[in-house]
Amino acid sequence: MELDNSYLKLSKEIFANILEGFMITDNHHRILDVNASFTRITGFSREEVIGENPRILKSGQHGPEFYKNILRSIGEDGKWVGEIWNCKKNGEFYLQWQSIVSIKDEQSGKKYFVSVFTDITEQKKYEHQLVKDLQLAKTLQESLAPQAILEDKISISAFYWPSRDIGGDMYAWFPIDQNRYGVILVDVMGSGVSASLISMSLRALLRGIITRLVEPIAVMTELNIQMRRMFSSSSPILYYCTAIYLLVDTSQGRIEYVNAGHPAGIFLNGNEEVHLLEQGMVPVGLMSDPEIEKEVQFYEQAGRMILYTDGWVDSAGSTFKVHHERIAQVLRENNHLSHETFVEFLQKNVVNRPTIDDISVVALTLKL
Amino acid sequence: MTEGNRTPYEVLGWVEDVTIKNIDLFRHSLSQLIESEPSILILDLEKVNYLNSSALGMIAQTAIEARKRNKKFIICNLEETVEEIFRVVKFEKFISFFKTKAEAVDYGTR
Repeated sequence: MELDNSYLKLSKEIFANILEGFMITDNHHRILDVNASFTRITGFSREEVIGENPRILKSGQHGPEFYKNILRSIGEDGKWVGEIWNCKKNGEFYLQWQSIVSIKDEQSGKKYFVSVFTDITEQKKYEHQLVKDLQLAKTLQESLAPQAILEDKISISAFYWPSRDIGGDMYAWFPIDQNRYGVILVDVMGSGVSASLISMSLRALLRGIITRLVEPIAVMTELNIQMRRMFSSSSPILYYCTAIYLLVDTSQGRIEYVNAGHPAGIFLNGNEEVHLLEQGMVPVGLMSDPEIEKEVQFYEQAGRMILYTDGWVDSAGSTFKVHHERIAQVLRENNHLSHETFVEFLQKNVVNRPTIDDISVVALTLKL
Repeated sequence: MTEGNRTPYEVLGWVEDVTIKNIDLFRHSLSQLIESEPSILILDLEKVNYLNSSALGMIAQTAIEARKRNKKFIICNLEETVEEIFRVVKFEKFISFFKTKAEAVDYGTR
């Protein structure tokens, strides 16, 4: 009995002091009780609402169907949870996150409805602001995408499909001199704002690094140093990115590259042979002094290459092995297409829309 | 999730995919593994079919930290899909991988 009394006292204390608004109504939708937070949120005192119908809080922002759905849900499932616009005593609209449950008193057989709610108007405003900020960041990210190169000896173009508003994929290419081009594709760990900020910071450095150092081992060494300097030295989280960098020499039909833990580039040379560009190093930023190997590939008359980020494999629900076989087949079967038609074909028929990760695809068409 | 520390090694057995939903628990479990007393640390990934990029970063960080503390960090029981992910990111350059836990223990305690 003592326990029952102290439990009852505790329940009353919780009801009175809880930060969420609390409202109990009877089967005729008359308000039986509210707590102090109800008054703080709505502006109505307890005395003003007892015996009233909860519709005194109605904002007029929802149609009759909305309220019918609430009643139907409570009738069928015994509960309703969701967002609802209500109106305070002073006429101000506010958005509340509300749960309503029906409770039956076994002794009396009477039915009650208990509502618990919080005011989420400010949180919603913040979310809208965040969405606007993300859209701005997306516009910035898109403005950094390089222009396609469409020349006799080399064509390079790409497409990017983000999984959310923005992501950590980034690609760039730079002419080094009359015959040589540096091409890079980067995928920063994680996704969303943090990955995007890191990729944009790296993007700002790339032109200088690639046009100054040119050679794949030197470029990747410097990228590794910069990645660690900017993001790993002062952070408890180890930030890293995977990347593949190619130096294409169109006068020699020669491609030097380093692959830093990135999905293999898939290269069809003029002899219909497909090579995977896998050699290189661990992802950029993981280690202070990684061992770096480069590899050289050649093409005789022509060549075509696809670089991609792993979101493509995720969206295809495939393994890398199966994915590479499929892309090799696509390359062989469509080698007759012009560069632009081939990239359009990839976008329309081959690459699935992203699921959990961004997708970037860079295509190169080479002629000697 | 970890075995008792009467053995000279500690095993973290992780049995589900690592995604954004459980990444904090994965980070916490790896921290506990690295702070455990034994000098042989084994991450058993049986039944794991997917690791997101953040999970890979945490695994790399654990391996680097283990090396700093003169501990051996070993991964075993890889499903084919996860083995492929590790191959792509070239983690074999600084982490030892074994097919079974017995092989991992044998290597670690050798």
